[in-house]
Amino acid sequence: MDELEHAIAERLLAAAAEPPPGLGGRVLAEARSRRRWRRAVLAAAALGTAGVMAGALVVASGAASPDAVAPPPGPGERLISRVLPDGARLRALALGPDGSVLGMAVTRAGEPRPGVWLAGPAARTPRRVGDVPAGALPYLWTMAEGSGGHLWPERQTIRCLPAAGGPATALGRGWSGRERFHADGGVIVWDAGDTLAVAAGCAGPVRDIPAKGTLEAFSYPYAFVRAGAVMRKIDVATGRAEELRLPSGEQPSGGFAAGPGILAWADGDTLTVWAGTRRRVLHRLPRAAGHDVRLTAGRGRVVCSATAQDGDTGQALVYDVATGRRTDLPGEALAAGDRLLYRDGDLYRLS
Amino acid sequence: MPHPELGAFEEFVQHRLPALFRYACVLTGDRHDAEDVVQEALARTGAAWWRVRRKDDPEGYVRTAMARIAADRRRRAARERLTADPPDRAVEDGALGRITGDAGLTAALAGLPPRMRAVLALRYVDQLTDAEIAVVLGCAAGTVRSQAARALAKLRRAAAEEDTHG
Repeated sequence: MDELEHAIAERLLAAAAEPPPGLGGRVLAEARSRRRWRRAVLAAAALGTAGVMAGALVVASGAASPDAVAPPPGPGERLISRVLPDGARLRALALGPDGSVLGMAVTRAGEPRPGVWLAGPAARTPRRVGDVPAGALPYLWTMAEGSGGHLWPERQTIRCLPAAGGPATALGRGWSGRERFHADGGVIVWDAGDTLAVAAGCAGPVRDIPAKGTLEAFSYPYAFVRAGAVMRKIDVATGRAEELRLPSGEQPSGGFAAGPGILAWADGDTLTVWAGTRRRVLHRLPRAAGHDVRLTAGRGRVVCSATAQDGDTGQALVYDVATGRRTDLPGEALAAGDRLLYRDGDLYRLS
Repeated sequence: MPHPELGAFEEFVQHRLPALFRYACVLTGDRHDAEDVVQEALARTGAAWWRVRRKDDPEGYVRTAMARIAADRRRRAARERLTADPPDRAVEDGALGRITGDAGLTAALAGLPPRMRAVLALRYVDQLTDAEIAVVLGCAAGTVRSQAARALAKLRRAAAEEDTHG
């Protein structure tokens, strides 16, 4: 910077002042007001959407019992009620390869409620399996489900409930709370800064594998750790790694997902799928302003799902890697192993 | 019982409001405009706190929103601007010359269009590159460069005039 530029920086900084009294209160009042308005709009939109979808997909919005209002399950399909005992709804955050669904409770307006809920491999209704302190609710943004355990965050700790039963344990040494953790193949992995932590179940030993970068995806035995445009594919069983070169060093807006033989990422309106030596690019992803995009992958399948941040609406794209077929669903969806879970009003359909 | 989400937001506002307001002053150069900018940015953030809280950096989100709001707002007509009084007469005093030069620069900064000032704040206070500024403001890097060049040209002229008259 030359002398003038230094002077500009000084003059700009000299304008700084302390906030006037009462500004904080006005900010909070305005935020509350906008939040109420937003809820009202979303609730009205959800009612209207359900009416439209009822003709096309027989969506059973507002139903208390799946059997009373929904079409019967298709062949090999299981219905899971989203309706919880206190009237809240289940929001699925993780799907296990065995069909277990782990999630949180939300009000009809999408507000989080305390508690962690699990629908086991054959269950048609979820049961409460964990408590979340009220102050830790904002941290309940991701979960993982696998034979290694049922996992959810509690601030910067990962709570792990053993799949075989027993009390929940605490994992997550070195975890910042900002990256997703994963459970697959009986192990649990999380990003611990400069290392990749690999735990053999909730109470098993934890190994550290040096890995600089961000843990982006996991499909046993491969963890995908990205540093810029270099994606390291690390075999957590042997520690061996190979490097993959990504087209860009930027963080894709929709994140990454891995499945058996698959690495995918979504960025803006583009989904890129690497399957073996094939690379496919799809456009027109399900998204809208204010939606959170989640990418998951199973065996031969990639799902890009968008969920309204405060509402009860979503949409998903299911991409079949073998056939190249894409299917659009009017509700959020998750993939794991051979399973696909998608929301249909007050039900989840699991196939 | 306060809603836990809003509770977390209240905590964020309570802790970060002074720093955010100072940043808004830097972006706008005016306390009243700063108040508008910080209130609008935080109200938007509070309404979507559930989503924002999950991101890496809520404060970064708010600052980006503030920069955009500051850059996109219209310049208010007939705004009263505070400027330093000009010296009564020319004197051969180096230190005083520097002071009047600074005052002229301050006035020239205050007269810049909002987007130009925001570009300068992001470049010289936040030390962002032009490409990063373009991302924050949602425009092309070429636009950032042209805005910065035009702003610097105006400020250099103002500084030169001060030197001449001082």
